[in-house]
Amino acid sequence: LKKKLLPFVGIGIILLGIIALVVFQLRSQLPHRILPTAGMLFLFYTISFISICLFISVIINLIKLISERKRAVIGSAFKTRLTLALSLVPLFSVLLLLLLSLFGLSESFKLLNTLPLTKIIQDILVLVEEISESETSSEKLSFTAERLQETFREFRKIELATQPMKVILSLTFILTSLLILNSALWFGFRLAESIARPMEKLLRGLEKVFEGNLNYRINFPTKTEFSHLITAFNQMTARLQQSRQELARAQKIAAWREVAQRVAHEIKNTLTPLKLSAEHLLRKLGGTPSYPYIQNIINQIKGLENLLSGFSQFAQMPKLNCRKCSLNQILKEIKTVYSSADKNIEINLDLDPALPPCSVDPILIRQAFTNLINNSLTALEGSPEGRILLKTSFDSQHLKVEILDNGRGIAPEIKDKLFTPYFSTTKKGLGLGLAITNQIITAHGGKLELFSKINQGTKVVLTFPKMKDER
Amino acid sequence: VTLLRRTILGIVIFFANFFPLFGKAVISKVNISLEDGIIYLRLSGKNFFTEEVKKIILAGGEVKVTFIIDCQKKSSFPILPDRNIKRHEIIHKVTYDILKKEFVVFSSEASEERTTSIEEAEKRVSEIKKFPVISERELKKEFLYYIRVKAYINSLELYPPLGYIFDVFTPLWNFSTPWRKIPLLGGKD
Repeated sequence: LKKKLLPFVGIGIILLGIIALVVFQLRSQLPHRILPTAGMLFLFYTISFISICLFISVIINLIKLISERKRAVIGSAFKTRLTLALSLVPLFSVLLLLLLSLFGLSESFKLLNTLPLTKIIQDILVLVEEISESETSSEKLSFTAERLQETFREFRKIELATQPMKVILSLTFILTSLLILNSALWFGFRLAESIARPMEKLLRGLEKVFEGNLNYRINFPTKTEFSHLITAFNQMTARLQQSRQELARAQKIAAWREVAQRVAHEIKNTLTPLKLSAEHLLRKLGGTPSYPYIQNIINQIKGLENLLSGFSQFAQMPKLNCRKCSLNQILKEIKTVYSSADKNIEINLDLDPALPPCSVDPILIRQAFTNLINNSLTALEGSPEGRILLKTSFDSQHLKVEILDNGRGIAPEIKDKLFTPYFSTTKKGLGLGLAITNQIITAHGGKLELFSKINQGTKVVLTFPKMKDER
Repeated sequence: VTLLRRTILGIVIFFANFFPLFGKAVISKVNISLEDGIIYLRLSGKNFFTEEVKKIILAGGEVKVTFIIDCQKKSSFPILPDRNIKRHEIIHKVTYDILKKEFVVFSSEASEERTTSIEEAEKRVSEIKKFPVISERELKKEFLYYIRVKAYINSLELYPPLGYIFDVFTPLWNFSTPWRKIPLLGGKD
């Protein structure tokens, strides 16, 4: 509100100042002339003030432009040329017009001097004519002389006023010229600025992207065609950023896979003789007090084997055995399995009946869905009104499966880590679920996206390409 | 160059209005009398004819002196302006008869007077001999009244609308005296 009021306060103060000047200047005015003179003076001061403001603005803009040019700021060369083009053309035309009106002004000055003179000459001619007719009475002659004097007085009055009038006309002319010239310049600067600004923003944005800052977005609302350019730029950087993130994720997964494969291999090699030896001992020492301890060793080894099988599965993506399947059917089956498991959590289906079949490996896809639903169930633990929604839809290119829950959500800072193997938010999880799921979906040519809000829920969107003959 | 010189001159004259360098003209003597229930005013001013004004007269121009005589009722509340209850405007004129080398004065008292001296012409034009301002009956006992007088000297005039702004640029030729206030004993017997 303060910022909005500021210009009005400024204008108010300036108006008051102008009114004070006018009042001060009107002291020697006759009462019946005060109002029109005040109006004229007000106009005079306002025009002068606007002219001065425009002039100052032009000078400031010029200094800014020169300093930008010196510092070689991006886009300053373009702006300089644009300013020159936009201000010099109107400037020249205005100058030409002013020269023409100057010529008119000097002509009117000449006219001012000659007009009453002709009238006097006319009167003198009449007088001479009357004197030449000597019969005329002296009374008539004196009347004519009186009239001539009256005309002469009138002429003197105009003649005396000519000098100050010339001063006023010159002043008015200069004032008006300055106003027009400054307006032309100011308008040129303004127009150049409005055109150059989005260009400058765009160039700056390109420089930032070139430096590697893909988070940079141009925020510059404009109604010109530049808005399309800016939108395109922002979309381009967003896509670039996304693909860079995906690349980083893929690289991370590849590195982890390598590690997992080696670790699993090494441990398995050691684990097999260990397990065999333990089983041998178990057979020998059956019935002795040491029996439960050895049983415990074997159990622990089995646990380790389980862990390793998870690792191997992550490391070695089994060969896809794709066939035409209905995603709707798979989701329905999964729902039946889960519905009986937890009575507190409600699982709903919102399936598009017209969803075309998709070429997938049903076993792996089922595993992927199960992993995701398990995650949702974990997020819903302890919530009284847990709900999971499985939704399918499609467009001309893709099939879409959405898994939504109203659980506790995912914090933005850990969202990126979720796809990293062995990262888990729970104590019992291995942290391989989402990594494997992502791997399965990617292997099918699909995409996994996560959207989440803290304490509101999570949405997982799986996108699969449509089968070629279905497109 | 002439245009620029004229413009600078214009600006200088224009801003001269802010400084009372040319405002030497004053109403010097004022006399108020009550005769037959009517308040009469006598006044005379000085320095009405500056050098510039004299030049105008001798060049054949006309000089107009306008007296504004106001009768005002003092307001009872300090911030409120005083109320004008009567205003008179008296115009005196001076011209120079080139043929007879005489100054012709047109005043409120005598329609036309002729004199050969410019000082005499100035004296006649800047004085009001006996002017009835207001009837005593129009004033009420409970209020305070005063008369204020001011004279405007105009030697260069143009026709409006140019004339309106013209006056502001000619403080050397067109000027005024300050207001002169004379208190009245508000209608007391």
